[in-house]
Amino acid sequence: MINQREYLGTLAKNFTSLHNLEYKVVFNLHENIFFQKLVSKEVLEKVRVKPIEYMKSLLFLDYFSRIMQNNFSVCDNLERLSKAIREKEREEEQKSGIDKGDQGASYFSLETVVLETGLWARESRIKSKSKDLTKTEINQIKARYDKEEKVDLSSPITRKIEPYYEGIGEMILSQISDNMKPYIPGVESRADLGALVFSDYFVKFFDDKKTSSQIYAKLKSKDFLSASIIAYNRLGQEASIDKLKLALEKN
Amino acid sequence: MVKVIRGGSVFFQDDVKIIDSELDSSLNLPLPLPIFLKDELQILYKGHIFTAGKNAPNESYLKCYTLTFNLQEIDTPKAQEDKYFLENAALLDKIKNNFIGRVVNGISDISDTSKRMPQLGSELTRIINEKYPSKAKTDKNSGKGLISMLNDGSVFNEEMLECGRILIIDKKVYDLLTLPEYISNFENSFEKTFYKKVHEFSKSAAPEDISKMISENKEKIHRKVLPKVRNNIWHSERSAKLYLDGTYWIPQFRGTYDALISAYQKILEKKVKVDAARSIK
Repeated sequence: MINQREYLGTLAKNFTSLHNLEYKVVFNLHENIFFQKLVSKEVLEKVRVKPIEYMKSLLFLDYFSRIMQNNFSVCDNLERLSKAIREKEREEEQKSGIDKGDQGASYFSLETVVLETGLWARESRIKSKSKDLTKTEINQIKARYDKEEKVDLSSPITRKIEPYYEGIGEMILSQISDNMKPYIPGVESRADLGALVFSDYFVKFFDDKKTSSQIYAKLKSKDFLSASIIAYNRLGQEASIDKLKLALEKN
Repeated sequence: MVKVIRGGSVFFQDDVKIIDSELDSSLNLPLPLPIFLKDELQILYKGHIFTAGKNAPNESYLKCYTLTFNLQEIDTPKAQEDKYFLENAALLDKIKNNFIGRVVNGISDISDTSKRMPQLGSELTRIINEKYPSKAKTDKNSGKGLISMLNDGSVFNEEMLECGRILIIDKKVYDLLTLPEYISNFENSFEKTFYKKVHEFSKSAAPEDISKMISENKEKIHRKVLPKVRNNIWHSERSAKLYLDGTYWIPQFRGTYDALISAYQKILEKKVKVDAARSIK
């Protein structure tokens, strides 16, 4: 039985950084490390999400944008949507004198992010005139996925954990739902981790037992990529404007 | 033994000459250098080195997300340097010999005593010291004084500048700011009286309490600056916290540690060169 936070911490320590951005003021040391190791700079700064679900949303969007879509337009769209809501909120705040801060509707919930991403996936499907990802598209996704090197944990150097990174591991672990935690030992790369998180949040927000059981089967066989492709295909079909509106109202 | 100065170069009898242009050449010291050996978080504070440990947090601790680790002192810079010089003794002897061979025309082997010139060694030492002038240390010292400055005679503690309180992780360097120092970065965004109050309070209060005070008076801070000030001090149980020497610290990114390494390499090279010069008998 592995210690999951040590394991995730060791993986994170050995991931190459996606960028070297350092937020001197807003974010602290471990948050900056988390961003550098796991979230593309294109995703950062675009999205306003309630603090408790912020990291989850970033992980979800990073995998969707960087690996599945190979572009970050969905983040721009989320930013535009958030700004529009914020402007409305400001008008209301001026009347009421109450500043809702990060409790306001312009700070999205994770569910809103997932649904908006789903609508984006749906639009992509309409453009490509195919209900599901085509073979060519899957091959392109796979090529991006495989670019993420697996961490070789057989080496004592890479295997070595240090306490501080155990804290980072705990941070990653807390982004993963309990029902997905049994699959953590199969994670070997940043792409695997992204696929697990992406599949996780699909299962969390869509009551689709058939798809969920297909996803679990793929995760069990350590085929994280296929699990995420199943989630992606269904996400585009399940997401709707009505569901998004409902999620925004709940914000 | 009489030295003669000709055109800026130093000559000794028997045509032994110090070649000035070679004095500050790089020595290609064996890597990794001491101090920077460890591929893990290190806090360098008043000459001591701490890493995060997994024992129960005591008077010094570091919080990463929801986990808190004790800070444990590891080998002093002196112990690490001694080990480095001992483990690399054979290679360093070659480096010293090579240096003398390049710098002193007429001597190719330090151990060659056929040319006994004690004046050459001391002259060379003097010139090297002139080439590498010592700078006055200006490291700020703001802890509670529970940890005293370590003057262990190491090259690192004697000569490295701006290393009095830093954190190193993933080849990056962070300055450690006290809470009053951090808050002072935002002075202009505070209402004057409130700034004074918070600044004074932050000298002794815990981050949670400072954050609470700021949150309860948010109308006294520019709204855009508020989350910036508060988030790095304390926002939730997921916040970072560093407590050392009776003081809370906020790591502030300085840059990659390349500049630090090359500065340290330079002063280690100076030591090796001086040792080489002194070994000329």
